[in-house]
Amino acid sequence: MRALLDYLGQQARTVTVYDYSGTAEQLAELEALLHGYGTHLETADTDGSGPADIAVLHQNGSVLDACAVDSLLARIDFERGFESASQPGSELLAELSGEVRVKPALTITEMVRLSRDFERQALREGAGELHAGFQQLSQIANSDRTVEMYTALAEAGVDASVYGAPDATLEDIPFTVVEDEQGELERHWFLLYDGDGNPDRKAALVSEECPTEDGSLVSTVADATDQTAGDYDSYFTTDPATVDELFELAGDEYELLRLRE
Amino acid sequence: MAKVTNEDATFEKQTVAEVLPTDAGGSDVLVIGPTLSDKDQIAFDVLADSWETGRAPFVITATDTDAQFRDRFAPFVPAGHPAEELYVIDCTEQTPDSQSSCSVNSPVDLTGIAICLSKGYDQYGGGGRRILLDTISTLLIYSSMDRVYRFLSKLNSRASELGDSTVQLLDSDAIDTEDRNTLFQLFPTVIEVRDEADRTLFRVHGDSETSWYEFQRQQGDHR
Repeated sequence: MRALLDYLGQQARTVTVYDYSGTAEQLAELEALLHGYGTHLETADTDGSGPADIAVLHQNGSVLDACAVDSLLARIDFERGFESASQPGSELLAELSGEVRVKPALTITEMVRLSRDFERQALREGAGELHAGFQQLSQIANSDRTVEMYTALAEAGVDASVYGAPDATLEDIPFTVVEDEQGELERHWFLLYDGDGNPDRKAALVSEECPTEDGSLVSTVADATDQTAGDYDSYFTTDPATVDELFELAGDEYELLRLRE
Repeated sequence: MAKVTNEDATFEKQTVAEVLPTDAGGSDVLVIGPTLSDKDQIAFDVLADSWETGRAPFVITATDTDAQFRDRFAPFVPAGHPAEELYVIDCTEQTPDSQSSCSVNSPVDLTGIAICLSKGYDQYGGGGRRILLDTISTLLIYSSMDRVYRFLSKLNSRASELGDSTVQLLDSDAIDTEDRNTLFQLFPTVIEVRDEADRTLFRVHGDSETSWYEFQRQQGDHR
């Protein structure tokens, strides 16, 4: 999973705003908006001889797009959108659509929300393969909602496999349980769904729990719904090509994963 | 009215319309329940009333594409009204070749949703309509609670100014109590849904709280 996280990390994009002259409040709003697109915001000051308030979208040193900051700021103001349909769109934001979202240190609540959202997509599709890592199987066994969801997925026709250390038994269930005997996946909460080929439904969440100072994993002792439980490095994406790449990488890295050929 | 009994409890079978207070017709409704519950059907029943009370509904979908939503909602559309009458704002990051009434490139683009709504009003006007948001939970993946709260507040007030009202969905599995209570402030009427055995139970919180009822589809079960 480390390879998947590294790959996703490389997909991260940055918007640098040069010689910003607006308010700090608007900049914070813009940062939040870009964060939702999985894009990091930075500011930079130059010697002031060039144009000011320019936003540049870049990735690994390559410039992908650029625009005046005003057109981005117009996009944070949804109040005006409610009043008039003629507000201009930002082409730079259109460029960001569907890109990888980078969300460091997601809370457990956010990760549950994301997992539920992706599981719902799979359920609606009623087909395809879904692989979900829970770290420990007890995380599933102790949650009626999770058992119910994966049962519903399997019954709807989704080829669902769950992974975790065998610290609990799951019996009489219609989905596939893979026991992670060697602890290969003990730090990873993940969900990979291939959308059964439908690009609108492909989704992936990959995360790694950060050990505490004494090296232990909080998730192994705490209830999964406890929001104070461990911190995660986490990425998610709904970009079809990126999800495909993640399936490839996961297949190369783990024999454990029951990926279809 | 049919009675249903099991060992534990008896719940009257009711449609949502029969349980909603009469003054809830034009007020914003939140439907909250577990991800897997039939809360969508309850919201769809409320949404389908839009034709009775005024106009064809507007739909903001962050989970289904336009086409997928129309398919799911088709059994709830009253006879004589083609599903094409729906105005669907699709914010699912769909592939470009998909067709939609109005599309937004990501659920994070709340401004895009607002603009699509304005376009809908420019085209169809307002008055007596229901607007569905499916679902708040997805918006919360992409934007902060504070921003989503301000957006929904504006959405509700804009709909109200034009004589319309909203019905919105929220998963109860993945939201903490504080955020849930914050969102409740935006809705005069909250329908709480839970599953028990093979049935869907609901109760309505408004000025007062009703008892639990077993959900019965409004226009007979077309599924």
